[in-house]
Amino acid sequence: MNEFLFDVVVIGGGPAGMAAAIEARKNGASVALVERNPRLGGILLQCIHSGFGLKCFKQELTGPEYAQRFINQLDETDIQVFLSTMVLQITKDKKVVCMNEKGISVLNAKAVVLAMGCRERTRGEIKIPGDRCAGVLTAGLAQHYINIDNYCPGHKFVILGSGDIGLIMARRLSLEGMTVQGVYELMPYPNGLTRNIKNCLEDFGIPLHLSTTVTRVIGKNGRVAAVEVTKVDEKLQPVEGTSEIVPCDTLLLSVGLVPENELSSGAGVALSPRTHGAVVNDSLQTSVPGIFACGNVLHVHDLADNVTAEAQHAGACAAVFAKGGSREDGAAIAVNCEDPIGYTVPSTICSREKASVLFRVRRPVENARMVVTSEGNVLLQGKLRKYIPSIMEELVLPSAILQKAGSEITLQIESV
Amino acid sequence: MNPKELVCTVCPNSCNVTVERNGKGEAVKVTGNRCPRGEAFAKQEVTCPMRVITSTVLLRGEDGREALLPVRSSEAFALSKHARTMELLRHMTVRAPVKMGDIVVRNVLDTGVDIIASCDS
Repeated sequence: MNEFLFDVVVIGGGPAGMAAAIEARKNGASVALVERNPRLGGILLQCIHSGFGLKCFKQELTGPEYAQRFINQLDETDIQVFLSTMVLQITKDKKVVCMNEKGISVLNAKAVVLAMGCRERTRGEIKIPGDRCAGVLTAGLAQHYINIDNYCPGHKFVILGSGDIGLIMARRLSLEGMTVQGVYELMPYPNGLTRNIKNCLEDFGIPLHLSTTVTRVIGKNGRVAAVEVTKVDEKLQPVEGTSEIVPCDTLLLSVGLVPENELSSGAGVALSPRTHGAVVNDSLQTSVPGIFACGNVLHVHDLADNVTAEAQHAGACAAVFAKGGSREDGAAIAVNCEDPIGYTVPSTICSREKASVLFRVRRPVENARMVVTSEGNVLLQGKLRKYIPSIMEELVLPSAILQKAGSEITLQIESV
Repeated sequence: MNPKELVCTVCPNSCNVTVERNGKGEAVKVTGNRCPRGEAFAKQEVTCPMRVITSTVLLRGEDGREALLPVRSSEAFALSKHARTMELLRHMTVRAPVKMGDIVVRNVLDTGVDIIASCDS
């Protein structure tokens, strides 16, 4: 068994892992990056569409281009990259046990950055009734088949869920000459970015049916032959008499993503029931000292550029920790939120310098303002604007506000 | 002509833009945009929508094995020419090694835009 020692070990070689590794190295740490696939880039490699890099590079790049820029940056460093290497376990004392063709290795780390990304929700998780036949797959899997493997997973598609991957697949399938019958969304509003509704559906004349869901899969000879779609009421319950049969041979699911935290749990990292990612402070440090988390394993982002920014912060904080330092210069301030805000990352703030709080609303709110209070005092009031669930929001709390805060702050969105 | 409502896709701000048009369908007034890029986008959008196209072409490796190479257009070009471009790309094979930015098709369909590789292979 080989043993290694590093200041920082980063798990996962997607956008989060690459940015965290580069930033930790810039901050003087010795760094290892572990990736289970034979190539770096993660899901970016199958996201061949453009729309990446607008914040990070001020130009519109495709997923592979965005990944290649970070791969090139990594190539210029002495970061040790372990490809085709699967992490089996992370212990509380930060031993990273991994396996590859050479056998089992243990990477002893002073700090660990979790950057394993997320998984797609499947048919089982949303419990669609009907036949258990071939032809029901997640949108990201279809994306891998078409963009990496050169397989054609079907000819006539129905897409359930208006998440970004589903919308992007609607366009991809149309360009490749397949038929997309329609996109069906349970909620009364679309779940993807507006730009994707326009460029992926409107450009190709693909209808988007809101407040409608798939209520039954109908199979014939072991393959999907049609799906039954039904309108839903305000309580999201199917409305009797509104069902329709839509013929298709493939049902794509774009019904949400869940952070992939099996390794984190094994290390004793506390998870949030709201995000399904780790509970972190403003250094992105988890409940286990020296273990940090960033990117989609922490909470699901909508833009890779935001993942990069978050991961750079995690990488820098991990390097500081590995060298025995700390950014935590005050008692923890608990960050609470009230409906319609669904969650905040971080959930505590320990620095008094400046803190960035990311959050998402549960449903669209028009004409509303952000109000931050602490123990009954109003610390901050935002401008009137709209908030929608498909866009993650950032609230930057300057030092002056943090100094005034008590042991907790509460974020509220007040409709006018 | 009736004013057209559209969403600007130049940046993540996604401004809701209204375009007032003359008899020929050309934009005469654009409102709702927060920057000059939004005005240019809206004017273009009501006459000839432009998009970047992304797809894949077959890549023959140095060892003879086949894989897919992601490609893109260097710039946005007329959406109306995308279907023909796809037809062209579907029948193409390129040979490895390829570097990000290498030209795969020069001046595709006389648009002045190239199809380029999205990554190294």
